[in-house]
Amino acid sequence: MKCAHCRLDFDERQMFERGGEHFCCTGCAAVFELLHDKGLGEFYNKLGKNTLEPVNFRGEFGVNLGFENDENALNLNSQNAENSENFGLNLNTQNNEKIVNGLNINSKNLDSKNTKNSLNSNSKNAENSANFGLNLNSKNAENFGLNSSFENNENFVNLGSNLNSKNDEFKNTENSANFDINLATKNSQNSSNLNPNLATQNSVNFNSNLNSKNAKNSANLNPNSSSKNSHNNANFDNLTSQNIDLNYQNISSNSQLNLGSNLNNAYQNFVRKNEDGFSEIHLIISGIHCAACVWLNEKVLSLENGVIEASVNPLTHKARVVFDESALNLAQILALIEAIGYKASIYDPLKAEQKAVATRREFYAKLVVAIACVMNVMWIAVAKYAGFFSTMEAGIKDILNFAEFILASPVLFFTGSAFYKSAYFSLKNRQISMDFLVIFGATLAYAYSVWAMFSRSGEVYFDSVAMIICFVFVGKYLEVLTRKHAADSMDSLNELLKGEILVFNGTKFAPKEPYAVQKGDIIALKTGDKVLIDGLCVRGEASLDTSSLTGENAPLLVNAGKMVSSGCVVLDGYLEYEASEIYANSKLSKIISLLESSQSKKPKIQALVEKISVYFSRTVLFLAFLCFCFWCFYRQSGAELALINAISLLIIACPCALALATPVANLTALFYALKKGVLFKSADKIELLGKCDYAVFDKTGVLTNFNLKISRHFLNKNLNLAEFSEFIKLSNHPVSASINEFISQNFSENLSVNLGSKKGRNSAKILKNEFNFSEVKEIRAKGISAKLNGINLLGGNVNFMKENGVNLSLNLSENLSQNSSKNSSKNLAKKSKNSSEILIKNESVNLNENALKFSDTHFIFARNNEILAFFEFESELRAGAVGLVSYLKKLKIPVKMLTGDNEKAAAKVAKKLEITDFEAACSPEYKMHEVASLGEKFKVLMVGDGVNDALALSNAAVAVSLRQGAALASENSDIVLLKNDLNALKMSLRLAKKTLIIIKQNLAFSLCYNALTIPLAFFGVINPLLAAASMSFSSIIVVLNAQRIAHE
Amino acid sequence: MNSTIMLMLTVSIGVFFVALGAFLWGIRNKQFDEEYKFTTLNDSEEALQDAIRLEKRKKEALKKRENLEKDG
Repeated sequence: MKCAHCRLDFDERQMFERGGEHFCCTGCAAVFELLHDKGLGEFYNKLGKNTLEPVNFRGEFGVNLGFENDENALNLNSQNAENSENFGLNLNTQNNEKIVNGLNINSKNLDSKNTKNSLNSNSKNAENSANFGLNLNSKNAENFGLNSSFENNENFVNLGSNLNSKNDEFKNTENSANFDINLATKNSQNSSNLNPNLATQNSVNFNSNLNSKNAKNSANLNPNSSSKNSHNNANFDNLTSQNIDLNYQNISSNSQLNLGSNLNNAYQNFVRKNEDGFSEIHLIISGIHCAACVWLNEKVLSLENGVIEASVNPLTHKARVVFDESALNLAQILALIEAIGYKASIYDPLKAEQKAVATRREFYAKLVVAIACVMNVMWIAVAKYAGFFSTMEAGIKDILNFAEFILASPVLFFTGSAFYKSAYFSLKNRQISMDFLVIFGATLAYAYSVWAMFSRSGEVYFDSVAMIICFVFVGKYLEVLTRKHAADSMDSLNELLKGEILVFNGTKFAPKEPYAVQKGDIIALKTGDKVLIDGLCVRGEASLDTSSLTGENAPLLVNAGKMVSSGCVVLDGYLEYEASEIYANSKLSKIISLLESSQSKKPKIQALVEKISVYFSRTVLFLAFLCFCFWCFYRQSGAELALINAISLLIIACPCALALATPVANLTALFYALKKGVLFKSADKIELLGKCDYAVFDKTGVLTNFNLKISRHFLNKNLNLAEFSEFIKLSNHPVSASINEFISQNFSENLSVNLGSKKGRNSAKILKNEFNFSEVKEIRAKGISAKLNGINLLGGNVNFMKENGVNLSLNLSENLSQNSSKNSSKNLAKKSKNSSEILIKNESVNLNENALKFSDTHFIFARNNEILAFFEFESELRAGAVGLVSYLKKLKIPVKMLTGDNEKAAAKVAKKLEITDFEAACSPEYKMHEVASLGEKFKVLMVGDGVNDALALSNAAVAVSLRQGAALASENSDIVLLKNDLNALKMSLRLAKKTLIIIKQNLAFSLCYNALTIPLAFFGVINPLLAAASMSFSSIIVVLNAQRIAHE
Repeated sequence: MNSTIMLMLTVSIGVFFVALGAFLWGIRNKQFDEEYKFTTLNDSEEALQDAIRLEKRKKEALKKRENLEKDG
């Protein structure tokens, strides 16, 4: 499905709907609404969708831009004499009294109170549902930032101020992040909070109060609504000021972000001082999908007073913010990003990123020097070649030679320094590398040319020197680039592991580093937390997702007395547990250390290549020496010719084509794969993937989705779907979510019938009023119970029903005899679009006791001890799983499934996929041994996604993980499927096979080339220049051949 | 003839090295670190405005700090 704004294709599940359109992200939604906004839309269209296109305002609007004072940069207020503190671009076509800043359009602005806005529109537009930037709509709710209409209870993001002169009913009930700046406009006396934020579920509130009458208020956010006040000192720039109180209140009990507590730590570790003495922070912003998001983030940051530099990388989603700590703190920056609907996490750029950037910069500089010099050397060389045929004066030739010398020297000594370094280290280790061969040949040619130039005898070969270095260096540069690309992609994929644990310090729970936690410490776990240390539960109850350790889908209920294993994730609930191990001895840590040791066992293909190259280089060096001796002593042709022939041999044997054969093909495949949503962490894995002859799969999360699919269900005719739907919503368990989705997809008409004709958001209100559930209890991993008008409602598994006294067998038979309306149940059946088996209770369907025997995860709903509905779930096969397995079979690659899940679940999936070889209940260690033992005979392709697969992945020849998988699994895999789609793996396999063929062709060609040309050079048929030309020609052929990979 | 060619070559190679030096200076100063941003030039009026504003703010902040240091 395409995003209505950026038109990029996304999975439907990744998108959300707003106003009938589907968007990939909040940024797109905001910009889209802005574009379709009555006042600003046209103008904004002219700006270019993402404002990345330069706009010719003069041409677009045909109005002279008025520069009325120093601060006005672009004003279209040609008649506005009162405009004094404007910045940005203003467009006031009919209004000459309005004071509008930034990007404004007040086309028919009659009674607007706009002052000092940055991005404004629509002074009179009462229906303005989503404004972008700063809006000061006098008749509206005075939205600022990204606001949908203020009456809307579901504002997704409010950045900004409520200039509630007339309306103070700003009720954001479902905002996850509010950045509300409340401004007193009429209540000028009120110096405290004039506009109480009524947000009830905000996890982060950033409330600030601003008194508009405060004359000293130097930092206001458009505070003054007095329309004629043109010299208002309120600036949008000063969004956050000293007058603004920053309150981080975790109102929600399930708050996920406690900015305050993490701030000190963040300051100490991550904020650095740059050379100007300003603070610098690096962030990874998640939620960025397109250029609009980047623009929005940069815009909001750069408009903030105190921000000195702000740039967001659209590819890596990394932001670098330089700020003045005296004007702004980190909390404000983070809150600002949160406020517009993105999540910012701090990351440490020193981790390798900075090194990678510096290396790239260095290589880039060297490459530029090499290319620029070679291009100029070639100009001169062409002149010399021409002179060679049309006779050239010796004097001119000397001048040209000297010019070549000047230009070739930087290439050899600056660009070639990388080769010198590598040659030095290889010699130090008593080895001869390819680099040594290249630089030795080049230096020899250079030295000879210098001698020839100054002695004015013989030809010079500076052009060959420069070209050789340049060509080989391009290959090296591409390697560096790829490495950095891969690192960047991984960085943005892996969420930062929050390595902090809440430990009880005697008075309260305070964050602590995992390594500092001692045995016996009491640790608190909340929903969403990752368990890092093993322990024993002492208090509370929570359901844990153990799928990354065991592969089991069903959540594990943990309460007092039960073990808590590291590596699990808390699905919901709260518990406190006593650490039974220190971090180093915990399960997760042990797996990680095992991994580190097993990484060295990985097949080192590079070692083989190096080994071959050593022999190759030695042989060539020996041949060159032999060649020199042959000409010098045997043919007695003099040292000069002997040296020239030896150099020719060195150059022609320079394994450029050979060296390029593999990496160029791999790189082409790598970029092609990336386009198709497959990330290869290193280029040589493409080649290895093509060679894999055994495939091992994990089940959960790889062959099957995490989502549960309803395999069969039963709905009684007495079931009130609306009531049931609301009851289900009381829990946020994955099972409830699946049922809810199922109901809304299949019985939406019934729901609306139940609710009358009212739909959408209104219905939600009605529902809430209609169904006042009381005594809601959620028993972790069992079910939920609630009371509605005195009636008991129960939802959960069989055990839960039994515990609550619901007689399952009796209940059903009674049901059968009591209710037997065919019509209504048939109607239900008709409404159901689902192909799964539908059990409808009527006379013709035999619903016996067996119906309530479940083999998988299930959910039963009972009202007053009468079972009205039940659902049974099964694992859903992942997209492309069937296709991939059959493709592997076609290639005659054996397929094996190793899962930590139980036998029954494994057998079911294996049967569906026609996999005969599978093992269930495998421990991570068993998986590792199995893969390792298979690896002795085969090249194993392992596909896994959990922490439990990480060990096996590290032992496989090629390890594949999915983007949604555990960070540990992604870290230990060679290939990451970015689209979580197994079709992409199939495509990769095909690509790898093709790449392998191309590589073989390239290798064959370059070997033949070397085999043919070395004897020619040996016997003096080829001079160094021709050698260099043919070498380049061979490289070009190899590169062109590799391009065929991308044209599948 | 020879001196003309020598002069022309000297001047052109000289200019070339100046340009190359300037480019290397740019690289050293991290002006080409973000491929996307230097390949997709964003020189819209608005972006330039933002850049000017940030530059101005930086100067002000530096000045302010200087003053504070003088005072303190």
